[in-house]
Order: sequence, then structure tokens, then C-alpha cells
Amino acid sequence: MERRKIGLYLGAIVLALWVLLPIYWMANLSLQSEIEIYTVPPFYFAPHPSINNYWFSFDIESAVKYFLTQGQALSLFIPGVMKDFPRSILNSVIVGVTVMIYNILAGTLGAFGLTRIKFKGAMPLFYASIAGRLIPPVVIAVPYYVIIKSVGLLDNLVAVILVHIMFTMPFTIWILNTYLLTIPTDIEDAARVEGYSYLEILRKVTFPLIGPAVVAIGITSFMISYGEFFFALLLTQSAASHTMPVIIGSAVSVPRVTKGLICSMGMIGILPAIAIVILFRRYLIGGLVAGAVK
Amino acid sequence: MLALCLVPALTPLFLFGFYPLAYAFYLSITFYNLKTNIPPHFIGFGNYAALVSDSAFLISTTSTLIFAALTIPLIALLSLGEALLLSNNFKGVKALQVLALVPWGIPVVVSGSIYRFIFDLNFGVFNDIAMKLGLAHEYISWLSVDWIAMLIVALAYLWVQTPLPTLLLLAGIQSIPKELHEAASIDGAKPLAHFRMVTFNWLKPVLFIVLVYASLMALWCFDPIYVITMGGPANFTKLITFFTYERMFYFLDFGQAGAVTILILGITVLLIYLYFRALRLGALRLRV
Amino acid sequence: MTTGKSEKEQTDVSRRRFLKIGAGVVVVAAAGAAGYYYLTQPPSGPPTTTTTEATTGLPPTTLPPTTSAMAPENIEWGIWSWGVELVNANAKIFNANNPDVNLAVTDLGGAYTTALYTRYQAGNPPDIHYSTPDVSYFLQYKKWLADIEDIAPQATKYLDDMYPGVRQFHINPFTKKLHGLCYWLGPIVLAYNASHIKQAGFDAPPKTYDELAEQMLAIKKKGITDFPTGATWSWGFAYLWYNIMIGNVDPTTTAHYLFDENYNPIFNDKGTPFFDAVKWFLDRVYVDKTISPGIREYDESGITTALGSGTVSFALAFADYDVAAANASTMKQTGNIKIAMNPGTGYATFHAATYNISKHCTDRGKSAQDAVWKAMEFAGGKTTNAKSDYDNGKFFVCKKLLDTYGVTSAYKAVNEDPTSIATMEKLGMNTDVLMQQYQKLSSITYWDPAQTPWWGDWFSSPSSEAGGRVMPKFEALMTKATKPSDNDILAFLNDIANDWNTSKKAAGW
Repeated sequence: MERRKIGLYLGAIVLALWVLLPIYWMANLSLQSEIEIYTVPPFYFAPHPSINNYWFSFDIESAVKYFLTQGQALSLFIPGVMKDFPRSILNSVIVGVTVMIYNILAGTLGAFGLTRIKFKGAMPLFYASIAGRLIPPVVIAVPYYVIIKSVGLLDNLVAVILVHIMFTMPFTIWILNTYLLTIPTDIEDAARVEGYSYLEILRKVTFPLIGPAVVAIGITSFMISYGEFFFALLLTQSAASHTMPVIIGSAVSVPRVTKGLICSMGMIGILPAIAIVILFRRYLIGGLVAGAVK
Repeated sequence: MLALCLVPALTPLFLFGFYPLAYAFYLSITFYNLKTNIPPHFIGFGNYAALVSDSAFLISTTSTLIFAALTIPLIALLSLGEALLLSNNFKGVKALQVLALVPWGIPVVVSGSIYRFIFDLNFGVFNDIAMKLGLAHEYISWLSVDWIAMLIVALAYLWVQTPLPTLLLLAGIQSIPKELHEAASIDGAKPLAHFRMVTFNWLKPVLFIVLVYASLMALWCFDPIYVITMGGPANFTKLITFFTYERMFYFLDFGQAGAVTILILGITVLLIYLYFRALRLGALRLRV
Repeated sequence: MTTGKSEKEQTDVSRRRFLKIGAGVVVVAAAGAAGYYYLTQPPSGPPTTTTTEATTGLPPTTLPPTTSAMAPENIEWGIWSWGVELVNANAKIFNANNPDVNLAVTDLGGAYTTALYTRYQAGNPPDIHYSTPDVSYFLQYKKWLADIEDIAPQATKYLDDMYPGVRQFHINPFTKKLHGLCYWLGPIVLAYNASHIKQAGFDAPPKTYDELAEQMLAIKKKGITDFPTGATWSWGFAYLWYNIMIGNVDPTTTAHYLFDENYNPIFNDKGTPFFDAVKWFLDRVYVDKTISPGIREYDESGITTALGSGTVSFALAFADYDVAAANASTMKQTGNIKIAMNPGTGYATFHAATYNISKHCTDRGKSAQDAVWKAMEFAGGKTTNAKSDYDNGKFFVCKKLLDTYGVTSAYKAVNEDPTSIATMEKLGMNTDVLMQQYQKLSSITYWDPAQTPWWGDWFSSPSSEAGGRVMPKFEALMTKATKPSDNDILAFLNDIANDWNTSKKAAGW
């Protein structure tokens, strides 16, 4: 099967390049100074690699000063929003972790309630919760904005957390539901007969069984929340609540851009999510196998 | 206990999902333009009429359809191919699986930024390579050619979106019971027929989910447009979600924005219904 | 796969359920909408919970409770995220010298316009804030801005300190009064690479737009650059067209280029200034091929770096301060980039921002008015030790802006000060031509007859990337397979005239 092996390795190389080349280019630009970036033709390898941009990402004022001393009026090209970058990573992580924890707790409770507790209306409620994922985000954009503003939560991480929860819950409930349905209820029924309360059953019996799925949806909800841009842009206005995608998205879409800084910020910004992907790969595949595919 | 279970899970959905829907509906039938001194008032289908006679809206819907027609098959094919590749057991496949998942962790705005820099007119690496390879004899502004701009947006979008379907399909492939494979081999099926009978058949439900997911994501695509083209050459990459955003926050015409969102909602519902109808799988995936 | 009901039954069941859910949602939505409609009055803004200021909504005659006559008047200064350090330093100086006023700076963030409009809608705008022309016009239209002339008539003296062509810009088109003082102001120029044109055999920059076309073609033929001309396409789009139009038709002879006094389009005909400008541009794209359709990709940093690295020779609609960036010591073309007078009549448009005061502030009473005038005069007028001094004071903040960042001003005294000239020269701007251009500026972009609230939505937004109908339609015209004929151009002009009329009607004008 030599041909097959060659084909596989070829495919593997193509896939690896597809993933790595853009990341390499971002790293490449992040190590160059603005002068080097704006050279024709572009450098494929940073001629004098320096981590200046990384330092600047955390201290924009020093970047402005640096440009001024170089005599470059390119200091004008640094969008003010970039100075919120360090805080924004923290914000993104806070939001992501909160959304993850909420999904794990509320999702497990919800799925448990929908599948294990027999009550009328379980099916319609289940459909309704799935339907939540079918609502285009843009539909709720303005109304959500108005609601949040009237409650005074504009420019507050809570608003972002709430909307991210709204996005991720349907998927969570769906996965957990399907996973729970494949698990036989014998032990739980026995426990119920012996008089254990639902809460105890959930804690002692069910929860350990659905471990992989819970980890999977936890990670998924973190990822979705971390990279979300639209609502984060809408609801945040200052350093207090900007999330990382907002900083980078805003920095790129203004008339004056600083490519090196954006690339270094991008490199820093993708670290948490990539770390999670690498560390929890096994759970992702395992959890989703049972959850979505059965 | 039941309340404890359901309230935390379902309140966000109903409060922030369905309630705003009603408000969006209200906006769509209201004249609500902040740039005039006319106070908001009921105008029935006026917003919809204004939209339909607006060439920018028509271009936007066409572009969205084109984008969907472009990306949905691509996602399906790419993720299927990737999943098939990754389901084989060869040296380094585990590392490759991790690698394939990496783009999923990258926010689309970052991906969009990289691709925008790559295709930059004067300082982008793509132009340099194109010149060196002889594809072009001068620097071309790729982002100013409408089809190519659309492709670049799709590229940034696909780069981030394919890992998840790949993951689902990979999980699906790995869950095919060995007996099916053995039965097919015993019957002497050729590789292509084997694939069709066993793998593809088994994966149909998952593929269905992937198609639905890809359709919705294509319809709602916003992030890469914002960072790469802001609507693109002559509005060609101004997909419907970006169009709505522009109406809302630049034109300050909430009424029209509301009307577009209701239209998007309608199309979403229609899409879902059509999908379920077409595959007749109905309750299979949604069974409690 | 589960067994039990047949597949058909399953699909029927789920479809029924699906439709039931759908119907339920629609009913809820309709009920909610009806309820919402009847319960919500046409809002002037979303319902605001009681916010901090006790002075919100108080009629002017009621003065704020004075527990002590010594309590400083609080003035909030809204800024955008640029030069924040300098602003804070200036505010400190002001507060140190004016103990009766407490000037607090609020950074409204990256999405400045949205944040500002939101605060106005909510009824608690900053007391004094920056405005770009579209912002000030919109706020004036909504009657949310106070004219500085009303609360400090002596402010009109500053008009004499400004260059003649920019005075009109600072007048509120609705009330015809001075609305605010200058924050910054600089010409939109034609920038060129002196070395490139010399190589092509020219000693001086072009004097007319035909000469410009000639020089562009010569440079291309000599192979110096492939597409010699770029422009600031993003926010400079409107300025691009006005510069060409007033370069060809003297703005001192006519007050109307696009619209008449009743805001009706007058450009959609052959031979109008706009028609000729479009034709000139398209000839460069299709016939000479000296302008590439890719010109639309140039945002401000794109064109500046292109000029600085030598990939273009000319930049239209170029901001004056960007010349300094293109000439930076680290750019390949350092020292070669120069400012030229706008070809033709020599008149050019300009970009500017002003300080403006919200009515919300002036409604608080005389004490607030005095305090905010002090703040405005410090920021945009003449002071000594941060206190008003028209006769002998200096334009303290304006001068500091120029010294620190090279950002120019509407005031002659600021720009023409020898130290300012030295700073600008050091930054790489050829000040002789720049000062000449200042003498020949025209406010026409903002006064044709005036920028209506939908002006930016129609042409192209001057303060953001999205928005605009003319820009995408022109881009379509620019990327056709064959050169558009005169009738095609006319069709384009009629199309956008239609868009204008639709917007005008929808706005109730």
C-alpha cells in the first residue's frame, strides 16, 4: 500500500502547511519593526528579530514614545484602543472561564432535569432550548443592547457573559442531553427507590458518568466565548470590559494600522485557546463522540 | 428540584433570546431613524418596502447567497477530507490531530487580520510570490477584485471554521463499528464502494449536522468582513449581517435594521425546516 | 439509532411539534410586539434609571444646591483615544490654575461617535467634547449643541485669528453663530515624490489637473512606478472629489457644487464639476492606466507607507500631517515627499475637529457656562497661565499639539510661529507651500449647502470606514471591463442623485 502511505503523508503535509503558514506569517511580522514590515518586497524571515513589539503590546505609551524619538510621525498610527490590550486578555479569560463554569453547572442541571425528571413539557422545552441556537445573533443585537443599557450594564463584563451564555447553552444542553440518554438509568432508578433525592443522585451517580461530555462542552463554550467578536464589540466601550478580539478587530479596521503590534498582540492572544486545545484534545474527541454522534 | 434544574439553564435563553426577538419584530414595523427629527412611529411594511427598493440590500442578499453556496460545500468537503485523513493510523497522526484543531482556538478577527496582511497590495507576501511565480507582472490589489475579495474572506472564515466539523466527522468515523467494515470486506467491496456503503452511510447524520451548522454560520458571518474588507469592493462582500450592522450603527436606521434581522430570522427558520424535510431524519437527532 | 415509531411517524411528530413551537413563538412575539408598541412611547432614548447627576432635567433657573460657594464647578471633557497623555497633562495644568473649576477628562474610547451619541441619547452627554464635522452637524441638527457665541460673545474674536477660508466652518449652519473653537485643522493636499518627477523630467509639481495627468503618464512610461497615484480612499473619499472640483472651478465664484440651496442635486448632468471630475479620474484608470482600481484599498497608513516606500509617486486627498510620516527618516523615500498646492485654482479642502459644548451643560446655569467657556478657551483659545488672555495670551494647547505631534491648527499665530515652522520642517513638511495652501482653503465640503445628517451615509462616512452609497457605486464604476461612456457616468450620477432624494424624503426634508 505504498501509494496510499505516500498519499497520506502528502495530505498530512498539506494540512500542516494550511495550519502553520498563516501562524508563521503572523509570528514573522510580529518580530519585525515597522520599517522592516513596510519594505518591498517583504521579508520572509525577520532580518533582525526583536521582541520589541511584544513589550509594546503591554505598554503602548512606550511604543508611542519610541516612534516619536525615531522621528516617525507614525506614532499617530497607533489606535488608542490598543492600550487596553493587557486588560483585555484578562477580560477575555474571565468571561471565558465564567461562561465555561456556568455552562458546566447549569447545563448539567438542565440536561439532568430534562431527561431524568419525568414531567410534562420536557420535549417542547428541549426544542425551545435548541431553537435558541438558531436565532441569528444579529437579530438580538439591538434589543439586547437596549435592554443592557437600560439596566445600566453597558460596558460591563456581565453583559458579555450573559450573551455568551445564551449562545453556548443550547449546544451544551443538546450534547449533554444526548449523552445522558445513552446512559442506562438502572443505578439511578435504584437509588431513587431507596429514597435518594434528585440532587444526590445527580452528584453521586450521574455526574461522574458524564465526565467526558462535560469537559467537552466546557472547552467548547470557552472557545466560543473567547473568540466572539460581534457582541463584545457592541457591548463594551472601555478598558474595563473590552475583550481581546475587540482590541485586535478594532485595531485592524481603522484607517491607521500598526501591523507589527497587531501581529504580536495576535500571537499573545491566541495562546490561551491553543493551550487548551493541545491539553484537552482527548476530551474533545471523546466527549463529542458520545454526545453528538450517537 | 425541577425548578433548580431548569431555571439556570433556560432563563438566559428565554430572557435574552426570545424576548429580544419580540423587540426586533417591533423595530421592523417601526420607522425608527435617529438621523431625522421624525419621531418613531408605526409604518407596517414600510421598512421592508424601502429595503427591497435599495440596491445595496439586493447586492447584499446576492452576496450572502454566493458566499453560502461557496462555503457550505467547501466546509463539507474539506472537513470530510481532513477527517478521513486524520482517521488513519500513521506516524504523527496524533500530533496532526492537535494541529488541525489549532485554528479553531484562534478568533476569526485574528485570522482575518493575518490574511489581510498577506494579501496587502504593496507589502503583502502573496503579491511577492505571485510576481516570483510569474502569475502577475505587477502588484495587484486582490482585495479590490470582487470575487477574489470574497474568496479571501471565505479563506479566513474557513480556516477557523473547518476544525469543528472535522472533529465531529472524525468522531463519527471512529465510532463506526468494526463489524460493518469487516462485513464489507468480506463482500469484497472495492475501496470507493466500501467508502460509500460503510463510511458515508454511517456519517450521514453527522454530515447533516455539519451542513446545517455551515449554512447557519455562512448566513451569520460577520467577523472576517469587519477586519478584511468592511463590505468590500462595491459592496460585494457586504454580507447580510454586516449590512444590518451598518444600517444600525452607521445609518442609525433601527427600523430597517430590525426588518433585515426579521428577514434573516425567517430565512434561518426556513433553512432549518427545509433541511429536516429534505433528509427526513426529523426526530432522529432531536429525540429526547 | 432507536426503534419504536416508524420513521414517517417520527417525522410527522417532530414536524408537528416543530410547527407548534414555531406558532407559539410567533404568538408570543406578536403579543410582545403589540404590548411593546403600546407601552413604549416614541422614546427619545431608552428608559434611564435615575443616574448620578441631580441636575439632570432641572430648568435653568434652578441653580444647583450650593452647600458652599467654594465648590468647584465640575466640567466633563470628552475625548477620543488619541494623545490622551497630553490631554491629561493639560487638564492638570488647567485645574491647578483654575481652582473654581474641576475639569475631568473622560476617554470615550475607540468607537467615539457611537459612545458620544449614546450618551446624548441617554441625556447625560459630556459638557465639552471633540467633534468631527459630521458629529457637530448632527448634534446641531438635533439641537443638542450649544453655540459658544451664545454663552461667550467675545469668542467671535477668534474668527479673526483663523485663516479666512476656514472661518465658515466654525459657524453653525442652523443658527449662523460660532459654535466652537478649533481643536485641529489641516489642509488636504496633493503630495508628490520630488525625486520621481525629476526623473521623469519635470522640475515642478503640476499646476493643473491636466498637467498632473501628464506627469503621472510620464512617470509610468519611464517605469518609475507602475501605478503612480494613490489616495486616502477611506475617510478621504469626499475630500478627493471636492479637491478636484474646486481645483477646476474656483470656490470663490460659486457656492454650490453638488446641491443647490434647497438641497436638490445639481451634479447629475454632463459638464458639471462632479461629472468632469469623475471623467478625469476614470480616464486615468482606463485610458492612461496611471490609477489602478486597487486605489480603493489604500487606507491612511496604506497610502502613507506606499508613498514613503516609493511604490507611488502622487497621493491625492492626503492629510498634511501624513507627509511627516511619509518623510520619516526610516522610510526609503525620506526627504523626497513634498506638499504641492492643489492643482488648478490652488484652493483645497481641509480636515478639522472642534471643541463643542452640550446644551445639557449650558442649561445648568451661569456658573456652568462660565466654567465651560474657561475650559474651551484654554483648549482652543488664548490663555496665560490657563486663564483667559485674548490680548497677550498664547494658544497654549494648540501650540503644544503642534510641538508634540506636529498637528496643525486653524490659527495663524500657532502655525506661523517660528518654532512651529521649525518643528514642521524638522518633521519633513515643506512649510512654504503648506503656509501658502493655508491661505487658500475652502470650507466648501461642509457648506454645499451644508452636511445633512444623512450626508455621510450617502457619500462616504468622514469618520469611519463603513457607510456611504456613492463610494461603493463609484467603485463598481471603476472596476468595469470596458471604459464607462459619458452616458454610463451620467447613469451613475443619476443613480446617486436618486439615492440622495430618497434619503431626503425619508428624513422628511
